[in-house]
Amino acid sequence: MGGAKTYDIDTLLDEVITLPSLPDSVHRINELIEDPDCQLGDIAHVISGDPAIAIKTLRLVNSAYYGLGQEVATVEHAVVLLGVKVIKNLATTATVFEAMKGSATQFLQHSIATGVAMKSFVDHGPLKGMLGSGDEAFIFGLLHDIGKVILQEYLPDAYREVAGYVRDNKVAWHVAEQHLIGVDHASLGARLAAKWKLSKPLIHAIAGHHNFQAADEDCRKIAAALAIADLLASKTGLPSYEDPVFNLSPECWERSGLRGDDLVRAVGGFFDDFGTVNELMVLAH
Amino acid sequence: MVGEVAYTDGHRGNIVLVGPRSNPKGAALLIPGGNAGKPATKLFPDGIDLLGPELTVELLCMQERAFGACGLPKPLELD
Repeated sequence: MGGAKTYDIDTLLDEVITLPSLPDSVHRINELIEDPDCQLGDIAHVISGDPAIAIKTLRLVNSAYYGLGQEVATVEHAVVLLGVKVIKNLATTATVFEAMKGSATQFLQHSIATGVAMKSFVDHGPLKGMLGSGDEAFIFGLLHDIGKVILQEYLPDAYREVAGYVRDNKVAWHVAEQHLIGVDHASLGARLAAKWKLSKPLIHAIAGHHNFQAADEDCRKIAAALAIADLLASKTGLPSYEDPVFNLSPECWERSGLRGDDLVRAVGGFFDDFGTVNELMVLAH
Repeated sequence: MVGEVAYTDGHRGNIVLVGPRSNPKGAALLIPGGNAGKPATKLFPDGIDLLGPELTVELLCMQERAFGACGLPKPLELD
C-alpha cells in the first residue's frame, strides 16, 4: 500500500488524464439557446443530427419522470412542448447517460438516486427558487461523482488501492483519494464540468459536495444540499459500490436549510419520486 | 423495529417503528427520564428536534424501507 504516485490536479490533467469532451451537438445546443435569433427548429435539428442523444432525449421525454401524459414521437415536438431550457437539461442528461453507460450498475443507481433527491429538494425544499427547475437539479446529483468514473478509467490500480484504504481505515472515499492520488473525485469532476461549460452553481456544487466551503460563497447552499442528497441516496439500502462514510458537519446542515419539517417534507418527496430511479436506470443503459 | 439512539439533549433512548410515514403514529421516540425522571414517549413529528437531521434521515429511510411502498430495498432483518 502507498506505492502509488501522487499528483496535484494540474499535473494529473497534463500527464495522465484527458477529460472527455462534451459532444459537439450539446455544445451547439447551448450556443443556440444563448442566441436570441435562434429558432426552436434549429435546436431540434441539432439534436436530431446526433442519433445517440436524440434517442435518449426522446426516451426521457416519454418517461414517467417527465410525466407528460402524451406520446412524443419527434424531437421537434419535444422541443416545442418542453421549451429550450428543459431540452438543454434533457440533452445534458442524455449525454451524461451516454458517458456513464459502461459504469457499474451500483454507481449509476447511486448517481440517479442522488439526482432524484436533488430534484426533490428543489420541488419540496429550501432550494426552491435557487435552481431553475427540478430537472436542472437532477443533473447536479447525476454528475456529482463523475470524477470517480475518470479516476477509475485512468488510474485503475490506484483506484483499487483507494477501495482497500477506505475499507481498512474506515475513511471517506475522497479522503482516501487525496491520500493515495493527491486529487479527489470532487475537484476532478468540477474540472470536467468547467470544461463542459456547465453552470457555475453546478461546477461549485460538484467541487464542494464533500466540503461545501470549497465552493464559492454564493454556491455553498447548493453544495451543502448536494452533500445531503448524496447522504440520503446512500441511506436507501440500494446496493453500494463503496462503504459510504459521511461526516456532515452541523454547518453543512445549517447552510443547506434542510432542517426539521422542511427536511421531512423533502425526504418524503424523494420517496414519492423514487419509482423513477429504476425507470431512469433502464433509460441510461 | 426498535433501534437505540443518542438524542440531541444528551439522553439515550429507543426509536420504535411500527408503520408507514403516512401514519403519524408510525414512529415514536422512547425517552428514559424524559418527563421529570419518568420515561416518556413522543411521536416522531413532535420529536424531530431530539433527533438531529442525520438521524432524521436515517429514521425516515428505515421506516420507508420497512413499511413504505416506494420500492426501497427491505431491511435485511425483514427479508
